[in-house]
Amino acid sequence: MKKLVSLLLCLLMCTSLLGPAALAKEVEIVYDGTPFAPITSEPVTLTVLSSASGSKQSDYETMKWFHLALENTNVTLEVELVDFSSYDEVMSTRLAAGIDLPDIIWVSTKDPDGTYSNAGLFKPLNEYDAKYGFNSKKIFERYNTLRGSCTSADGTQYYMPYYQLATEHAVNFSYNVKLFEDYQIPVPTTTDELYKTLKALKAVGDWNGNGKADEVPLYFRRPNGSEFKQMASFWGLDLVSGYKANEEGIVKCGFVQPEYKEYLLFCRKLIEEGLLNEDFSTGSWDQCFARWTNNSVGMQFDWTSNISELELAMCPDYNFRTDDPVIAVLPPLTGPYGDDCYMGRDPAGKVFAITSSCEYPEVAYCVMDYLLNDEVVDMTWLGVEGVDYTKDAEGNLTFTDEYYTNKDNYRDRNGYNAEMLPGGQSLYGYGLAANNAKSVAQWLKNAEKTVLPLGFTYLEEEYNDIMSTYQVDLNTYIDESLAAFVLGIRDIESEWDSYVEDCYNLGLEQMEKVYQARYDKTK
Amino acid sequence: MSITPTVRTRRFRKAWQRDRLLYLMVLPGVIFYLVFCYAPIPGLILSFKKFIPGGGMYSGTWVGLRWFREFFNSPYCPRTIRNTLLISLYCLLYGFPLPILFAVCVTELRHNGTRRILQTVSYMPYFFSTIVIVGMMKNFLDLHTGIINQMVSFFDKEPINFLSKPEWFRTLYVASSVWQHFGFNSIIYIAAIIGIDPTLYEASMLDGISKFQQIRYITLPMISSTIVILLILQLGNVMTVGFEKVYLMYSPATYETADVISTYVYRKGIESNNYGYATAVGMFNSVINFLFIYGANRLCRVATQTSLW
Repeated sequence: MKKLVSLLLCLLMCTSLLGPAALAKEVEIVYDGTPFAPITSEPVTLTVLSSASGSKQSDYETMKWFHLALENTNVTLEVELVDFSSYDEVMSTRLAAGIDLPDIIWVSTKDPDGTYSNAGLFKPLNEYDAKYGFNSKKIFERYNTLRGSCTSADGTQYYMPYYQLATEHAVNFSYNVKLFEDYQIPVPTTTDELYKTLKALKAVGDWNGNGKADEVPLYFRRPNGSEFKQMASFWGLDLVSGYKANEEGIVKCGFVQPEYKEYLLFCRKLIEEGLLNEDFSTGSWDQCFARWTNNSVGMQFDWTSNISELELAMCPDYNFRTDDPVIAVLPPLTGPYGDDCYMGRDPAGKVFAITSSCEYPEVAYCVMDYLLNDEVVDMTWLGVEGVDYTKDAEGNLTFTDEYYTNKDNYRDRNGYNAEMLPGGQSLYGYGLAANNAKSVAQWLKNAEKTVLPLGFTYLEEEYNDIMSTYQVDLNTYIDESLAAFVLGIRDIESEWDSYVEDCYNLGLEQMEKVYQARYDKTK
Repeated sequence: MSITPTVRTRRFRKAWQRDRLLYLMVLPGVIFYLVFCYAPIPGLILSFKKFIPGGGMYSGTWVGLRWFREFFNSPYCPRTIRNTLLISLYCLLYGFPLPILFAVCVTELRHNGTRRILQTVSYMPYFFSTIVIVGMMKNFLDLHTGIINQMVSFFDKEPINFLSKPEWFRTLYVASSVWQHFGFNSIIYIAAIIGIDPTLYEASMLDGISKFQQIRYITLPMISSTIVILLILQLGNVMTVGFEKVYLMYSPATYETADVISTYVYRKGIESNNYGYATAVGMFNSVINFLFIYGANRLCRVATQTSLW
């Protein structure tokens, strides 16, 4: 018996030694960057772990446009879509365990301190980039900060991006058109005029005629005040990344600047006079949707792509193609210091890695590069020519009613705005395909006045240690102080100096050094 | 006389033959505790290491007491411990006696139909998920459309922004927890009360004592051992406030009273992929819970001669 057990254990040990050596498999790669052409000479299946964070769909099998885009490539993707709200935990626990890893994984945290890449969980991609980076090279040239977001501090590329429209798809100010027209309220162009406009809206009273005092002149919905922070761009502040370089190239934290104090005082005044919703730090998308359905919002700061949904909430019969906007987008307001800009986004929306357990890492890289091709990106947004749209001689697209109205979530089910694989956002897809032409024209004008926040880039170990020591505590203090100041729990004038002092005691100076290093790398 | 292996084996076989069904009944529970409670114990080693993802439990470099020092030196450590203790103690203060009172009231009902309806209605909230409970709360407490604020407005008062005010957080958390759990928690007390010998009540009626005196001198003393055991078990969870509900309910505006150890560790440990830190704080929690349960057990044994062990 003992001999048999020993023999079995020896066999098991030998098999396990063979295991890792058997991982990397060979298959002929015929990829040359051409869209809708084979990548390999024989069928290969790759597994992917991701989340359809843009559309919140959960079934990759229904996403016809992605299947069609990959039809001729000989590569099949088995995509496991996890709910967006729990994706971080699923990804981090799967990587921490190091078992049952997919071939391609969306790294939602971007692994800022290199925990995963240094642990050998991801394959370096430099070698594959040199051989097969046909489309990624073009994208990295188009967005020059993107490569830095995919490459670690030592120059090793571990990631491929999902790029986002940095300036065209941003958070803009919008207003309830019919309300303004009915009561002849002027549209503001400066922050001073904004205050007067909000007062005028408040004076209207029960504009939705439901007998309840549920009207809100200015509405913010995000629980952590994300859009709330965006409005600070009118005060010359970048509260999105939190840090901004001045004219001398010195990076300073926006949350301790005198302009931030002025912004807080402005918002406090709005809250005191009932011009801003008090639940701005606890609101949800459902509550926002319900408010617009009840026509109880005057103005809102939100993502341009959400405006069409809110327009339909207000007017279910709204027709994008023929009707004028129900909720119109404003140009940026001019602030008290002369700033008139919106805050854009880091082009590096998402990053995807090939895990160390992938048997076909070259094929995986080729697929990710393939998905960055402009024609492939367009297909995953616009659908199929002749089925979802027709093109005239000038190249203008006319979409079917089903596509345009998103009847029964037609676009989402087919993969529109899924953001679940490497690729990018289509301007046409976000624009004319799904929104009013006048709104889109204003977005594009606003894009010229949209500045980018400080981009993400990987730094050396010493900076990562500073981040892990100070970042969470400092962000906790800044976030809770923001809410406390605006809601009046803390007095801004009397407690401002102690607030600034506390921020520096919590390591703000060290954090400014980290962001300075980041700025120096990306400038 | 020493017991030889043969004798031991024979005794085990006899016990197995006689009680095998009982052993099989307890087996799933034993496996559960072995797999989920005892097997992970070696993972506590992560408290002293900088964990490398994918490298297994024994990977990473030794950092000694670094994570414990970071936690205790954090400016939010006193606040999170205070909030955790206060929320737990309030839940104990209001949530522990209520099931007992409810069980006593329910068992005194004469009409079977009423008793069954009351019990069913009281148990139902227990089966709602945390997300449903918090969703309901957010809707009921909404500043403009919530039913609570509509009632407040009806009495010409200013609506209250409940979920953004730190002074309301503990009240809302405790009240919703008590409402959700009191019915289910009363089951064990109802079972204990039903198990009391009815001749005691008959004898007391002959002596002419009132209903209240019956409850005071018969019902409560007879279930006192159950009460003590459950109290000791509850004290063992004093440092463990449910992460999910706090996470769903809190916001930066309410961090002052809402941020507990589990939510702070989630932000610092899990979101930052610092599993060593999260393990260290979890171990600290467990040690304190153990000290509480040990102390409570000793105190109960001295005071009431009833204890868990």
